[in-house]
Amino acid sequence: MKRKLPLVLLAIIVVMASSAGCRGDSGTADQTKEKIQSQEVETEDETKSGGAAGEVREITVWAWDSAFNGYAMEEADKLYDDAKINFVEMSKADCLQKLHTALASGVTDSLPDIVLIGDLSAQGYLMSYPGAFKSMDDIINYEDFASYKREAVSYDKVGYGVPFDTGVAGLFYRTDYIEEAGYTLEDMQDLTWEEYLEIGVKLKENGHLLQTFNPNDIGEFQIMLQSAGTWYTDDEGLVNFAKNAALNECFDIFKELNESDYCKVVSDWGEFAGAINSGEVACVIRGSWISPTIMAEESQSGKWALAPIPKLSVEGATNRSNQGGSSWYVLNNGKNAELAADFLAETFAGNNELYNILLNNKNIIGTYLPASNVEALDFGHEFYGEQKVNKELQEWLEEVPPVNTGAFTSEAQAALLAVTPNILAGQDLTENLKEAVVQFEQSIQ
Amino acid sequence: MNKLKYVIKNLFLTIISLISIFPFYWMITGVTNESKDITMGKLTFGTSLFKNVKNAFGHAELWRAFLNSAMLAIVIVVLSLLVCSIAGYAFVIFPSKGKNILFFVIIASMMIPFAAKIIPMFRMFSGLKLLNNYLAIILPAIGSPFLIFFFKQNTHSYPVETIQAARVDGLNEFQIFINIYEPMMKSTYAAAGIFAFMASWNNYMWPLIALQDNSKFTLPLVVSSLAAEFTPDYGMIMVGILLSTIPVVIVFFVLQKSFVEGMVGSVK
Amino acid sequence: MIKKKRYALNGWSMVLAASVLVLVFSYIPMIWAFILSLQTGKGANLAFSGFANYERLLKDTAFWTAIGNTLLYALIHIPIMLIMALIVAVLLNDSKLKLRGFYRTCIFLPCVTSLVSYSILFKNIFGIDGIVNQVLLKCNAIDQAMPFLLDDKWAKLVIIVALIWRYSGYYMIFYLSALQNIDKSVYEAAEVDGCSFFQSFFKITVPLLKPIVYLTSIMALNSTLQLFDEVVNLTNGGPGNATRTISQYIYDLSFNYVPSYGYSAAVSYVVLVLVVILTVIQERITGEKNE
Repeated sequence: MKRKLPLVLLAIIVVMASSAGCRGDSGTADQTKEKIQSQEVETEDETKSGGAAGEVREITVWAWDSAFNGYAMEEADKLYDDAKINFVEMSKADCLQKLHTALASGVTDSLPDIVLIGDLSAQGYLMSYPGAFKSMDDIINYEDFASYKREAVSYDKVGYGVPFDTGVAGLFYRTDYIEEAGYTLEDMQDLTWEEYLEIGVKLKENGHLLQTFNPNDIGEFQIMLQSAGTWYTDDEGLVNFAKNAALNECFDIFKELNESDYCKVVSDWGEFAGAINSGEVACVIRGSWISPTIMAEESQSGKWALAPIPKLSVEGATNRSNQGGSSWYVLNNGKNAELAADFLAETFAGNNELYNILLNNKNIIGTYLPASNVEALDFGHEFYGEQKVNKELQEWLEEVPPVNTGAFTSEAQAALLAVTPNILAGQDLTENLKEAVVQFEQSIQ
Repeated sequence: MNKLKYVIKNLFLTIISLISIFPFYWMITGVTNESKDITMGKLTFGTSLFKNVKNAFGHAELWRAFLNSAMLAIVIVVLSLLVCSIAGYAFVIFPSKGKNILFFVIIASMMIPFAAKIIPMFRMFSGLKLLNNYLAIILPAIGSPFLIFFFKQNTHSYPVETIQAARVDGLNEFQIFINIYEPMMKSTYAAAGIFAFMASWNNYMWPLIALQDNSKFTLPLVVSSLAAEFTPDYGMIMVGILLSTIPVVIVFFVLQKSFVEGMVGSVK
Repeated sequence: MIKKKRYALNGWSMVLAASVLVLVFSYIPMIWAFILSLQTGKGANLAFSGFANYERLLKDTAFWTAIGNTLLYALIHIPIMLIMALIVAVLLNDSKLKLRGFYRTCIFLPCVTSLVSYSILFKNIFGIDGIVNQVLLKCNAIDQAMPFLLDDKWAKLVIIVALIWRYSGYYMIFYLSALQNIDKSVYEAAEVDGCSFFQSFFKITVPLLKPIVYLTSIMALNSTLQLFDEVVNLTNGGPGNATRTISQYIYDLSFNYVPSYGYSAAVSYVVLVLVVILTVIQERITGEKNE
């Protein structure tokens, strides 16, 4: 008996393992959205391309955040009869990793039809995998979209992505703290950075702080640079650090924040959100996606308002900018490239009602210009003192300066971040920027 | 003097235990609190347990992912223990120059960062038509250099005389392994079982790349997608995390008695 | 003569399954990766260029910083952690100790506590308003709160503390299970011969545990050199590059930056060579033979 046991166990395991292989294919019962079809889709091409008349085909979408992006796809799906959406959710980093692996390995049978890519990463993908993405120039009308978005989803003058959500930046602030410091709502419009930082001094006198500050995160530079129509790299993709007046000013502001006593030092997202929700800071300058985080603290309802971001002092500076945002891309080698392209053309690139629904229910602001008059925009948010924030954001996004963010934003930020501690410690800015240039060029080889 | 030693010993262990268990305690309070309380570091229990559980299970297929992970773990643990223990045993009991080289080669393979192997492995399994198939996860996991190493080192302390005696009695080598060696090495198998289970249960990167369907995703993948929303709901995330942690603790509980059993049987 | 052959056959057939699995599923990808390391280019635009990647490595400051950090972590946290694990294991190996099951479970828990959750906690504890700062301020040891995670020396220390806390319990299990394999009669004989606790610890326990100590130090070295999760969750490599590890750098090269798969494969191979060299050095020092 003792002798037989291990062998019996082994036999059971082998059977389980091989059936695990098969069971995996046929899938277990799915009680969730009926739209999620089973795995046969992946392995059976015949039904796809053959497709008897009237049979609904499936489009596979890879993206993150089912509450936001998944919801958008769900609503778009309702408006399109020729296909069903299979939304595969994973975290943003995981999504990028899977996409990279699939595209790098040259394996095409596991590719999705549509994938969501953050605007800052898009150029990198388009550069790295020529021919992997479908050009949408002949399928959608790029003039229908905000110009800054058009720039972001194109490579080498060809348009690839279908723009989705915006990260149009705004200055969110506590009206009660600001008024206490002696400022009115008008005062907060069209500030310069100098004026903005002065507010910090006044706030401190009343026991409040201006904003959070993370010396290890220069993400805010994105907002500042784009507001002045510039970036870490220029139009030819060459590094633009040392002679970049806007970048120099960014670092000056960063230093001032670092040395001030009116900032709340944080080191990660949790502390950042905590500082906002606990009422320690009066202002937040971020892309519009920060709104749900601010609104998480219901007790602060009615105490917030939205103003345009401050502007730099360099030539060409504006009060308009963007941070983040993503777009949909069709993969040439997915199983249903044409169908997917058609789907996007009819929904995200052609349907005003979709944007109305998304805005109404989830505060999703798109960049589709024909939809810039939908009714949902007229909604006055109680949290923001009845201010029509979405309407203002929609107006602003059309004025965001278009910049070519290039493919190397991550590398640029990493190179700058490496010298940031030195700059904050008082070392010479120009010398350190030169060092950053060296590191940057090394990393993009 | 003995009493003092006893008190010091217990005091030391108690302090260490409290330090060790604290974050675990905090994890449990986290499940009952609201997201913003968690980010602000609240240490006491709240009342949102039901709400968090409801959100978590309604948001993602946690239960299905749990079952997927469990099934994979069981298969991998059993197979890898079998395959690796016999290999580790053989490296010690049948030493040879060739085996030394082979052993070194096997160990070296675990010293390369996994990230380097991802794309080649992806290509390989795609060629074998095993992508999105659990076999893609099971096969590479069975031959674990670590487990082979572990069994080999533990076999060094094994009394070889019992094997000689068994040979004299006429048993063949495999019979010796199954009937003499395995029962005596209970504590080693128990420890190896825990390690193998943990490795399989927490395996993240390769399942992420190899699996394509939501319905096949393992628990770590699903919990990670919970944590990656625009505004993370930490209460909900904690539920996923707790669900990921409890099974490992249970496995430990069950197997830890075998640590103290020591070697069954004796040299006599 | 026939017996010898049969022994050999048995021995080889026993290692067969494991070896084949490792060779097929580890070595074939590894060889492919090496071929990849001889190519340069962004994304899928790869072309052979000999050892260009390895040359690039030598001048890459980010690479050397990451290696330096990683080795520093290994050098400091491994000895402390293994000694702690050993002491605790020996203390818990006493069958007369009540509550030892409780202690054992508690000390094991850190390695299963989810990384995400305990990193939130650690960041809270070491944050500006965290407990550590509050205690230090109260004791007047410092006059202003220390931003531990934002200082390049202290951040490294926090990571080391986190690693020791997290993995001591894991290695304790190795030692506990190995201690169980030492026959009690050996200790009894020693006691009869008049050995004290320390004598029996150093003359009996330690030598018998040598194979396991060797194993744990190799494993610890290996996993520290591939350290990724803790650093990403606690400091994300910051401030600047002060806590960045080599695994993080490899990940960045493949997935965060515009991918240079060839270069990241080359970096991976350098890590492999490094770990192998360190392992061999360790082997020489401990005098352990792989017999």
